[in-house]
Amino acid sequence: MTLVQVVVSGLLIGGVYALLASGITLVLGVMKVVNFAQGELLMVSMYATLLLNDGFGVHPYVALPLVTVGMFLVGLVLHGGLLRWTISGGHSQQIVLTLGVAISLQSLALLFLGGDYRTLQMEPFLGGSLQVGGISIGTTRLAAFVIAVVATGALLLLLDRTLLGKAIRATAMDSNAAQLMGIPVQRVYLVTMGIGVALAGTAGAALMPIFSVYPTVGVHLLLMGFVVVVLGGLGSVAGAFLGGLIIGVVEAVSSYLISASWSQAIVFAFFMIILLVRPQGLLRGDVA
Amino acid sequence: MNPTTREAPVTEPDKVSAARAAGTALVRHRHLVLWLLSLPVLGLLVAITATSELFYGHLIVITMVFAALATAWNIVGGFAGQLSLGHAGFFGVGAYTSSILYVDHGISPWIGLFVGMVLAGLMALLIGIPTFRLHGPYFALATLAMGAILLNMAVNFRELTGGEGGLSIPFEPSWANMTFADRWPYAIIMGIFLLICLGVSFVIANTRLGYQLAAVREDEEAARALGVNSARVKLIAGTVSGLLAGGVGAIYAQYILFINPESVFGINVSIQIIVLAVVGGSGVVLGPLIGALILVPASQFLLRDFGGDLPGLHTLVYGIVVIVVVLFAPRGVHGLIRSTVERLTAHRSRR
Repeated sequence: MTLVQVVVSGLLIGGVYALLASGITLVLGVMKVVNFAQGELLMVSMYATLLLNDGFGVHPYVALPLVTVGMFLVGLVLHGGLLRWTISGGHSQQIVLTLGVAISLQSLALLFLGGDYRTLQMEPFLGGSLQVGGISIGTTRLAAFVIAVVATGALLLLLDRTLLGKAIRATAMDSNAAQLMGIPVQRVYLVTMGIGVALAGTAGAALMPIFSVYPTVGVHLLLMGFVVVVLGGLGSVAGAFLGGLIIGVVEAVSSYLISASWSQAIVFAFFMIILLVRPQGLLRGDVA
Repeated sequence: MNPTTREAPVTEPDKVSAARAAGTALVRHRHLVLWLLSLPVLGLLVAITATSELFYGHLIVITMVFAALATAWNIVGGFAGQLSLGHAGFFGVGAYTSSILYVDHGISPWIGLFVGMVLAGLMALLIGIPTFRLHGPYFALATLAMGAILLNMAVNFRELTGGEGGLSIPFEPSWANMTFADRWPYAIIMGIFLLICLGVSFVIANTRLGYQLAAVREDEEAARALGVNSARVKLIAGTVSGLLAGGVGAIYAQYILFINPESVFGINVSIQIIVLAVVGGSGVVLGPLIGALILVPASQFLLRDFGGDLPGLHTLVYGIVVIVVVLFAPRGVHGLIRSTVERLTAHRSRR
């Protein structure tokens, strides 16, 4: 394996980190809530994709839009049923609430689906891999990356070009002022949470053909997501995309040059340095 | 207005007023009463541990372990309001320090306990200097990352820590080795350490430092404007908290006699500590203890009775209880008890 090959595969997986992180960063930017359940919501989406495939023979890329819509609804329920009651509370209260959701989802997965590692069995997608200039690119990874680019692009368009996007951005900047301008802030929160969780759904479905799923799979991915969020700048979707690619490459290169088991520690050390040196992240902005 | 009309009626029978006086004395000196009660309670728990079946002994010791950890966390997470998500790091440093000193160098765990506490405190100080500059979610994320780095170090420094395989502590029972065949000596040691944690917590809460921490928690800017050195008080709280958590780790390692990175440094440990403190009532001395008394036995019973058939049920309880508490009793069970008592006494005085 050459270094170029490593960088490419890091970039591709970085797209999925970006997708997970943009859900976190959107909710954080608009609602000022750190969603610690995002990793477990991703886990739920992975299981949903797997079960749709095992039970009904639905191809994961067909399941992807279904899971995304399903998770959007989950997000609405999560907000309407739980989070909305703590919006006026402090950070600690919200963090602990989402931790509670994370613990519950993880336990439920273990309870009903067991602790085994499960992988999705499917025909090699488009022949399994492509050869480009001596580099081999896994098609499922490439598909995940393309999905991430499309989803991020769609989200940016939504935020930039639509009335809803304008309302979301206004709420992120100053929720009181937005309320005074006649924006239904509570409904914006609801939709934002829906979109945030839907992004976990997209990421989960895209990831399922690549990774194994097990009840605690979300823990590691959530940590990566947080690293990306902080690197990209809290609340910045474009930053999250850039950050995702960087973290994907840093992880891949450090596990190639040093060792796979050290790569995590290196990513987190990188994270600490960013937090301390440039806590505003790469791109600063109120959502977009 | 004539001031004499506001005097209390003197027609009350002497018996009632005496009882009321005794009542107010009890309330006024409730801390003293609780501290005096703590030793017989500890004695009783040790007696139960010594006489009952293994499971109940384990239940008592493990509840003490988590009560002490949550009490230690509360000093920084509750009093100072800094949501640390990396407290397993200090627990793990204490556990690994005493275990490595004992297994590799034959140094008594009693000395290891103190070395572990000092190292964990030192680590808390070193981590605190940069991270306490961060606020709100940034601080939580930074401590989460610190915990993850420590976990990775424990996995990767294989020659020192045994890596993923963990460390087994030789079973050579004696007081000098802090290793026992029975559970009651552990109940004594852990019980005393829990009382130390509660005592330190009580002293901090009722002295200048505690008031300064509360001021920082409520409004850091305002506290600084009033002359509170917020960086310094947070560092002191963090160091004391880390020190105590490290001590719990060393005793826990001697009790379980086997540690691995996931069991002491794992993010689940950090989260469990927070859940206990928040459910009981963070920011008050007895809150974490109450949380541990409710949740740890509940989850241990579920683990014993359903662990084989229904894995995950014992952690599901943690998740659901913490959601319910955050939504319906944000000040925890302690806050719930207090407001109920206040409502009852207010009702009585109105009659």
